Amino acid sequence: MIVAAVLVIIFLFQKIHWLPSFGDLFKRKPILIAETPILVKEINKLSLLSTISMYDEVVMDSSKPKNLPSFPGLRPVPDKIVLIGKGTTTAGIDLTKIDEKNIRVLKDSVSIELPRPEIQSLIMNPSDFETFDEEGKWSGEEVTQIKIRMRNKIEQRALQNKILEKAGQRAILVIDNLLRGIGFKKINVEISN
Amino acid sequence: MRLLSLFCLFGFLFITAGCKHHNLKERQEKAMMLKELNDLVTVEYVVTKIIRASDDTWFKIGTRKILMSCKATLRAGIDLSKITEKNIDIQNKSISLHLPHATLLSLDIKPEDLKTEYEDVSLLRSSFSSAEIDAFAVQGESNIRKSADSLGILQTAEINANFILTGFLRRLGYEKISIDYDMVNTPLQ
Repeated sequence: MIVAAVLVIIFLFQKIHWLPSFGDLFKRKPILIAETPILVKEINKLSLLSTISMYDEVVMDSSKPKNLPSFPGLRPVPDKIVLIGKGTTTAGIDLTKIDEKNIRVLKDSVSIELPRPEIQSLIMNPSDFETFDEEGKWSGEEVTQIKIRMRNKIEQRALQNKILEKAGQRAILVIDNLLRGIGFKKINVEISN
Repeated sequence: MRLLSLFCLFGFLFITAGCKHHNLKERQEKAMMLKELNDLVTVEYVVTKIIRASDDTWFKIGTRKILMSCKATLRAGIDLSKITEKNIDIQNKSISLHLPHATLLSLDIKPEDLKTEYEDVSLLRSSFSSAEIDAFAVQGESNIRKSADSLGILQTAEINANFILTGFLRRLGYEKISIDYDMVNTPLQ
């Protein structure tokens, strides 16, 4: 009788949210990181004109033998991990490489020689990775190595898809428009060889 | 009968192990997406942060603690596509430019710049999985992104943009150069 009464009271308290439900009690809550300061280590002055970005996705898996004693004729199931990664490659030109001899101005005519386009960044942040499957124990260093390979793959694919040529063409267009906007009539913009 | 079951189990394990043994390879490729940009990147901040987390769920025996260090690179600058004809005023050798405010253009945390410095796991608990470590890193990334404004990166980006554009316009023959910014600050991307 007393047990029944206690159970009814608990049930009622849970209904009016004075007590957490049994499901919530054992529910796994996300672990939150502690508040820590952000320290500025370096401040670098840049002068980059970013003209194109390429978004790409890769999926990679890796497996390794399990660290267990083996028996004759029996191989244990290897440890396995599958990662999905999204990356953004940005390309453009470095304006600090333009010096006096690359700019020629005569009245309303201007001629500019731009430096060769280059990859300025390849961003694959922690939020861009997803662990699709993980079996066994994988150290941080092993996972980092897979992520670096994924990043290299994305960079390779961006270069294969002619990101630098496209960045160069866009840079010519952007600088041309800028010069036209600031009053020049005859404009010649080209990429240096 | 028991011997037969055992044989079947071993046989299954052997076949599974043989089939799944393959090295790292690319599995899936998706279509690329191109985006045209007009960003003038003028500053880069390199920052560090310690990521600290502990898992002491009451219904599990023992605790797990982790300490990670993280290095991030933030870049800020001006979106030149927002400059239109009405933002430019030219009179002979003098030019006046009205620019949009600087924005945070990128945040980059390289996989190798995220390191586990310390991990303490009780005997009855399993160590942190790769997915769990990634989840902490994602929270760290989010914290850095939210704090970018307070680091003063946008102000530095605008000061540098003034310097770069003034030098560029001077080389193009302008003698009097004036640069100012929108009154309303644009939110962080």
